[in-house]
Amino acid sequence: MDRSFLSDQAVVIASRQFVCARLATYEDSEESKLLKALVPTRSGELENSVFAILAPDGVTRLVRPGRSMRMGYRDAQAFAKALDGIAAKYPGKPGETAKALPLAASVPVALTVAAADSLPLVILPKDADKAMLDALIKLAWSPELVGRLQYARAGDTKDLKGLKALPAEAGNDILVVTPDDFAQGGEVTATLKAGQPDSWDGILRTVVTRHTVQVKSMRNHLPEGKRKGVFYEPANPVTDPQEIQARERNRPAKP
Amino acid sequence: MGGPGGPPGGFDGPPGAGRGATKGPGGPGANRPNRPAPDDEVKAGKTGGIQWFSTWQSAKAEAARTGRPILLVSAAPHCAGIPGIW
Repeated sequence: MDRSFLSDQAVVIASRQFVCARLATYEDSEESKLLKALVPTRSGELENSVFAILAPDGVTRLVRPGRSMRMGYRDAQAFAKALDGIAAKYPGKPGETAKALPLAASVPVALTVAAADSLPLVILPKDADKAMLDALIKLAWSPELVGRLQYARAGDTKDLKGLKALPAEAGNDILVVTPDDFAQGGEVTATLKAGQPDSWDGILRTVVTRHTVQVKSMRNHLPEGKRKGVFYEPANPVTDPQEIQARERNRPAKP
Repeated sequence: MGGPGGPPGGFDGPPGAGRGATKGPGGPGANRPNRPAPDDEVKAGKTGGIQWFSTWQSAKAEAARTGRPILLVSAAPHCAGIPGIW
């Protein structure tokens, strides 16, 4: 979906003037209501992929919402130019910089998103304190790391099951995980020691420098996933009619 | 693969190699207001992907706090029931 637009460097650069929200379509009931209201569909149900640009109030529509920005812009350059135009009208409050860590709703969702993006996932401990969050926020939005990592906070120890090379005593440390291709787990590739925030920047820069983005294709990924018997159930039912049919083709047979 | 907003370097090629590749000071990123960080990224040749907020609640709060508009997309990180792909 729109990857040639949203991965384009001009669009990425323009995006820094926005708060960018990418919601996982079938994971949250309230978000589903919002998305469904933004884009009426022929089926009358929420269908996968929504695009909108909203004012800072989160309500006022600045462009006509749709299933894709491809419907309104001929290419990524045109889209980037449009983003710049909107940002000029909404330049933000002077001096305000990012003060929030873009945490996913849960580790399982974050792992699936990280696998789809082929990005390392940073997992904060359940009891991460303000000092830890503040230190990580500063790094997350630094020029060297912005847009190169996913973030989530552990809910319970179950969240860390399936991770390889998990330190025996992770304690309150932050884990950096390379997700496996099908988000069934991942490998801990680095640890950020709690109480040693001065070391985190160098470790994370090394992680993103060494990380190799996996190029996936539908042609290979879907049959391989079916062969492995992996199947994903989002928190809410999938309502896109085409996707419902496609899912049934890959749903593992009951034993 | 890049994904919807995934990092350059996958499906769409390496940073700087796409259609929006910066070719100098006058390239994308030049003379845009309120955006010191991206220029730093471009100068360093290190533009990552879009940094997404993953929940509406957090994005809306950040937009209200900063006064910045919201680029909103939704997508499922699974296709035909198989996870790990957009």
